[in-house]
Amino acid sequence: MNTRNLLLITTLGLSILLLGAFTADDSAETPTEAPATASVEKVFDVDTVHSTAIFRVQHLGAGQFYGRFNDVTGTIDYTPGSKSGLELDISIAIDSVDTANDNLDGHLKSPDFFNALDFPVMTFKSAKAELIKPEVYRVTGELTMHGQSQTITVEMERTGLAEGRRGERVGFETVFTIQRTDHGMDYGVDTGSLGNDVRVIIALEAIAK
Amino acid sequence: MTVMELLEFIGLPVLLACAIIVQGWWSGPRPWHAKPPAWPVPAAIGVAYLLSFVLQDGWPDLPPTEKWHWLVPTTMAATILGVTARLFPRTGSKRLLPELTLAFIAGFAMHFPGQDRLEIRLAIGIAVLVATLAGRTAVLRRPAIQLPLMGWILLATLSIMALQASFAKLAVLTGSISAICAATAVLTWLRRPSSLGIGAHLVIGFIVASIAACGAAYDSNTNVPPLAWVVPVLALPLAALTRVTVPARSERQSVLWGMLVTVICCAIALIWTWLVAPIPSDPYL
Repeated sequence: MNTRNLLLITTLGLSILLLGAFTADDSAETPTEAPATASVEKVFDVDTVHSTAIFRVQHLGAGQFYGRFNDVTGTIDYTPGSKSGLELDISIAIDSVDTANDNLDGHLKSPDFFNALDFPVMTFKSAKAELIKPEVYRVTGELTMHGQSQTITVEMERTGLAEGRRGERVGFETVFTIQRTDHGMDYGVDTGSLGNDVRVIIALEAIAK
Repeated sequence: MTVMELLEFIGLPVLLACAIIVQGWWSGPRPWHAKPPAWPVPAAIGVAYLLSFVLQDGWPDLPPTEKWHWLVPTTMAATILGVTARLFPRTGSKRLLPELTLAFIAGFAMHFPGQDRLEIRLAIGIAVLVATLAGRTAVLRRPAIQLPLMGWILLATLSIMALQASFAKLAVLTGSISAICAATAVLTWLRRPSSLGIGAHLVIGFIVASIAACGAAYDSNTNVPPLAWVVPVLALPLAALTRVTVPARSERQSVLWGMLVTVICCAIALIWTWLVAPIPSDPYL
């Protein structure tokens, strides 16, 4: 075997090896959609880093200002494929409110609004869920904020369910509007300096226990 | 906070307080040259305090669900003690019973966040005792205008500090009582012979100490240094000590010294506050 043929065989062999290695790595990195037909209830812990709660409220009758809560925790009991197998128990730390302005954060934490010292956590605990269209659940539960509870119904979309290198994950997202006076937060409502309607976006990512 | 809100939350309580004082001082069976009765000022401040609170935040639950709402029942207790102060013994150690009762109420009935430790409760009780005792020395001296003037300056300072601590409702509540003290000073000046009578010092002293404790508890960003809240409370005993110790040619001059000490204490508290957290350039409230 001359040198040219040896080089050709070696290069081919190396290429096959590298191709095999990259292909194997790709399959490990790319999450695979978990089978939708599974019907075993799974408990997922909310991934605080990849979950968020965003709100917006009208200021002085003009613009909408946005804020977020950085500390979202809780559990999701989810049965993939089930028509009612979704239970949520979510907690949001009021102290994690973040509007990119320290003074505004301090005001939101004060008794004028959330009163973070007396009511450090807001919670949502679901009581009922039903699948109303593919990947969308209608969830009814109790939202407790500022020490006052209200039953609310929201539509919650399952944004994904995947098995990856870091375990099985599920994502949910919901957008809904609440009146803050329902929870005893009336600062600035009468004069219209701050709106009563608060639009809330909650995006959750959770990892199977 | 709009002008209409300020008129509602501050103007209405001031009007109500003035109505009570005018009714108590200028009508009734007493001859015009007699000393006015003592009950109208503590009653007016207490009732107006309640009105200012209710206009802003509604009636508080009992027991309050929000800890700062403890301000209302405890201040009502101070009001009752202030209105009935004349019924307590006037001589001997028992004459200090209302002040001691208020100190106990403040130390053990007020429940602000983070102030559950025994030493903090004792400190709050002692602060109320010292503030009300110092108020007693002011209320019994001429001219009678000094206590409401001190209340006006001290509570205006505490209102600014509460605003700096991002607690607008407390700032407005304190501001309304400050305005009532100013109106009381004017009415006291108009009334001849002028005398507040015993009782007003209980309400004013208690409000100064309790607002300071409440503001310190809820200042989550520590925009106001915790010790700066103590300075306006200390102004009352320091002013009383100055009146007693600094030689003066007349009673009026000794009162002026006391007022000067009050103004200096308030200036220290505000400058200290603004050094730690300057007034924000962008309004956020």
